[in-house]
Amino acid sequence: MRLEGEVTVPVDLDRAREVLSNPDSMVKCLPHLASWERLSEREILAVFRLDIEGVVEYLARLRAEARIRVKQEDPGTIRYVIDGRAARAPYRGTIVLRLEDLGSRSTRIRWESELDLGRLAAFLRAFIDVESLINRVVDDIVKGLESCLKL
Amino acid sequence: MQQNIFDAIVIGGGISGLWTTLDLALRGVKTALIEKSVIASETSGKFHGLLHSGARYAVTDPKAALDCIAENKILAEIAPHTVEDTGGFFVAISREDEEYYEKLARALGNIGIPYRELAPSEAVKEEPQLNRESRIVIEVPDKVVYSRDLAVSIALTAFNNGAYILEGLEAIDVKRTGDDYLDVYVSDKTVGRTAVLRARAVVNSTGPWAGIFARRIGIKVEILPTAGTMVVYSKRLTKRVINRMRPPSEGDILVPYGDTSIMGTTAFLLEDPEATPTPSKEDIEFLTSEGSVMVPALAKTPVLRAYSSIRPLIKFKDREYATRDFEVVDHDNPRGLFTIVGGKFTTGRLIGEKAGDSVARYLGVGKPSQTRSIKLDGGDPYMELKRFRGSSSYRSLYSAVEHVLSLRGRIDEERGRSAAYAVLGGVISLESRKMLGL
Repeated sequence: MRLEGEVTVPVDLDRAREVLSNPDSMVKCLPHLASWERLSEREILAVFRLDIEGVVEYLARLRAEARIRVKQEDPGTIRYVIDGRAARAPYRGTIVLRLEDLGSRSTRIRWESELDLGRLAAFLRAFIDVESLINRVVDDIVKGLESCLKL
Repeated sequence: MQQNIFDAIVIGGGISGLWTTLDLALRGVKTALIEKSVIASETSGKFHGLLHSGARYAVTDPKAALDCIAENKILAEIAPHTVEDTGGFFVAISREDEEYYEKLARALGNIGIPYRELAPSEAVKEEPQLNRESRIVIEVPDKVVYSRDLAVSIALTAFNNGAYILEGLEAIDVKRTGDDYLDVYVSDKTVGRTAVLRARAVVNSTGPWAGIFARRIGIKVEILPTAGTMVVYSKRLTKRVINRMRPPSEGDILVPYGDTSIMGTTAFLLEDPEATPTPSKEDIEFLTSEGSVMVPALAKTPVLRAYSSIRPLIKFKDREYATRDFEVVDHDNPRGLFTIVGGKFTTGRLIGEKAGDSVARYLGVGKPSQTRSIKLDGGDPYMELKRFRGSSSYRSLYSAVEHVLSLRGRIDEERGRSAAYAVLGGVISLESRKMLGL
């Protein structure tokens, strides 16, 4: 599933790049983060509590882990490559951020994400709205990054 | 073998099947329950033991919460020997937990679940193992229910009211025969051969496997089997059930069960619904870590074991979310077949009542459900076992029965109660078989 959007943050390009391309600072911007550890210079393992309220009645938060590799592809492009598990089911995806300096300490971030829940998505689709769940999760991530940069 | 004809056959000896059997028996419907293994051996014997007050669901599913508080009260009235009125605390530890308080309190008030707020220092006095950093504590009427004790008590009461409890029979097919009957083909695991039981109505109460069983007989029933892990610790650390005050999440319930503590639960999906879920090391570490935030001593309490079980999750057309609520499906083809989908242990009696209503209507039986008010038999499992001393199954089970009865009046009487219930379950099944010539 592919999603895209853009946000403008009130920081200059260098600051945005510094925060978003550094695994240590980036991970702290992610919402519902429970714990994390660094696996290598560019890779972290993060554990989240995904907000799934309204999807399954008896569970509003679901533990999910993500191994996130941060790649700086060029000065204006950062790619997060994600391999994770939620409810013991594997998923994978990428989030690409394209940073554009708007001047006056302002940066536009265009983002694209692609998430693949594998066979699990087909299995879940009969019971829950998988698309809206993914939408919500990605939206949460983007908002987390945005509010972190605004601080 | 003689032809056994019933008004109703209930397939599946979990909590829903047991309550349905009792409900029908009390309405005077000649009912047989068939279970491929022994009663309450799967999900109904592998949960955390919490008899929900409904507080856990109050914010996210008020309907489920309302059902839970009603059933919580009923069960404590009709089966007091299987319920321990522990009470439960919801504790806020973090700032985020604290923010959930308003929502929870409002929802509890709206639904009518009684609660009282305690000063954290007062709560720690009452529960000395509670995290001393707790910010807000409220008490709710959570209770603990002893699974096998209740399951056998329901089976015994059903048996005493004319039902047959048949263990070791696996239903392999259901076929309509003529206008009036359904034939249930069963594999008898005790002798390794198949048999046919006939009934006017059949209830598929196979829990998380209801979809698989339905598919086997050519019907589509959608159930998402999800699984969860629970961890058992060697000591009972609290008098009450301890819940984390936050949106329902993994690892937020600690239940004092007998002399142990049980921490639950995780949630995971099974790609193969017929697979047996198993606890992972990560689950155990996670649950211990989460539990020790509420009760720090848990981190130093030895883990005895862990277990996982499957829970049926369903989706109603008129609700946007998947739920542990239940539905009784009345199939058009074959007529007379009903499937119970979803459900949880706390609301098992209500499920049985609704399934009983559907079957009774189909059979033209006007007598209403009695399970809301009938006191269950089995308060003293030793005495109940003694009653079977002169029965036809006594000889077959002589050693098992006498071993258990010998515990009475001796040092292990209290610890032996569960064994007494277990053997009593076996005696009821054997008696039922003998009465039917099976």
